[in-house]
Amino acid sequence: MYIIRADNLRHSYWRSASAGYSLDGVSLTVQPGEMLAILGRNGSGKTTLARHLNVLVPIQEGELTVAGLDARQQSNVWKIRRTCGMVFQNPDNQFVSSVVEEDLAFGPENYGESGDAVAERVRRVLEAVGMSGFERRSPHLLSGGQKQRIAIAGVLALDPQVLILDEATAMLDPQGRQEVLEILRRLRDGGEKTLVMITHYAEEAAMAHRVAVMEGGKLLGEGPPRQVLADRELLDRAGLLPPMAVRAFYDLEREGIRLPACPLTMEELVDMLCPLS
Amino acid sequence: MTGLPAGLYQPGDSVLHRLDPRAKLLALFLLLGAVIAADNLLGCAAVLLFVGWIVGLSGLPLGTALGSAARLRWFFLLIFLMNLFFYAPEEAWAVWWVFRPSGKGLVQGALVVFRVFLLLAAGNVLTLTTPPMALTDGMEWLLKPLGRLKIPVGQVAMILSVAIQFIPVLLEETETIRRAQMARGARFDSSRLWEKAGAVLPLVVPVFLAAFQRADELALAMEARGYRPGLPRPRKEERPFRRADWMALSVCVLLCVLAFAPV
Repeated sequence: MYIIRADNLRHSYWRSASAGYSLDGVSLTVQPGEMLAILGRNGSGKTTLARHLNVLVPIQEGELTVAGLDARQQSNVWKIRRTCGMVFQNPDNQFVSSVVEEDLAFGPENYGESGDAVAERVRRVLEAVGMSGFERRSPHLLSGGQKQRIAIAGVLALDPQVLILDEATAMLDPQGRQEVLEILRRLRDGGEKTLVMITHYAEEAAMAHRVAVMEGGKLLGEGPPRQVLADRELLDRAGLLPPMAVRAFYDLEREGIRLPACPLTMEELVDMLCPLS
Repeated sequence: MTGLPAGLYQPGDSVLHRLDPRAKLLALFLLLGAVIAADNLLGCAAVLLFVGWIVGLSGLPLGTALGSAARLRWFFLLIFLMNLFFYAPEEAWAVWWVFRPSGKGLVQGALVVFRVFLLLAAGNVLTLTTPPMALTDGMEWLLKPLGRLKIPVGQVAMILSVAIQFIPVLLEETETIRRAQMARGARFDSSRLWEKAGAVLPLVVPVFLAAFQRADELALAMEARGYRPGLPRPRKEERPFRRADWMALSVCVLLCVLAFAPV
């Protein structure tokens, strides 16, 4: 049973097909509780794909089923958006209120909830992103990482089954990125949410259960990170750099030092290098 | 971003913070009437004292409360000079080219500046002491009668609220872009008028583009969180006005009566 099933999705932002497709026949499945990273450079179609999952753009060609709901049916759109929460890239452009608790209440209120139930949700999601006590603060005064955690909380307040992160760390400084990734790690290990993470950092994709690589609106390949991220040829075709640890592995190999396996993260690389000395 | 942009809600626990947003909005309209009607010294003193009083009640630092009004000082100077020179040409003290300064103009200019300043300050105190969504709900409630004329009241209130919040953000963005253009040789600081005017276009175009981009993203983010324009948002349980709300309104009505009463 898949929570997301895309079949041959095709989409163009232009009227004539000659202008090319942003999404050119993408088929993809995601299982409940899975964390999928969609990796691709700018203009590879990954954001367009993410927007499809939340039906923020109309389905032009192909089929898309989210939590058993057919995305082509207009009556399903709002149910799908409730099932699939989406966090955007720029934390500054996602807030509707300059008070954190009001902003977090925005989603649930749109679905007709009010009063104590909403207050309870707000409390719970703030705790989930480790920001209890920020209820009365203004998002404008928070750091980038904190802003994005609030944005994640705003989406979690709707209790979606799927959380889509559209380059949610791209505008953050290293510390802010770590904060957000930590939340994602927690959500991944919790196993309750399905996570779809759009990114152009191979390093970030390493934390996913599965990685799909996109280029030119097409899916170039997918598989477990250990396989995909170590595939230099595939990443090269997608215009991406392998993670630092993978590059180090191949550089060392060229120099005649063969590590037992290809590491994906800095920590793994360090663990493999230390016994050598 | 350095500090809270001017004009945005500042959490607090003053009498004004605790007033019902609807009462505050109504009070602002009454105050608007009173400020416009005040045309003698006594009336002006009364509204000035009143605005001073609410600024004091809000517990906000003076600079914060009056900040965005003070930012318009050049605009105020311009209105003042326009009135001074052109308001009553037939009673001019002196004539130099098209400029005809008059006593009436002096008074009129001062009065206009005084009124606009007070209204800005009062409006500022309202947005500083009321959380944005509470203000939205208040506006929606006030505009409700217009709903009968098929005006999408909820959407109008949401637009106003989001617009108010993005003013400071856009001001900040304007400043960033201004610096960027200066770094590339734009002459905002030139004393030559035509150079200054020429520098405005490279400022306005990117600011507008950025604003549209922001609006677009915000709209997507709102839709992704289930906002459906036209669908009524659930009303927070409508609390009746409390004693403080009625008192605030009474004071404003009184002020209005005083201002309108002939002396």
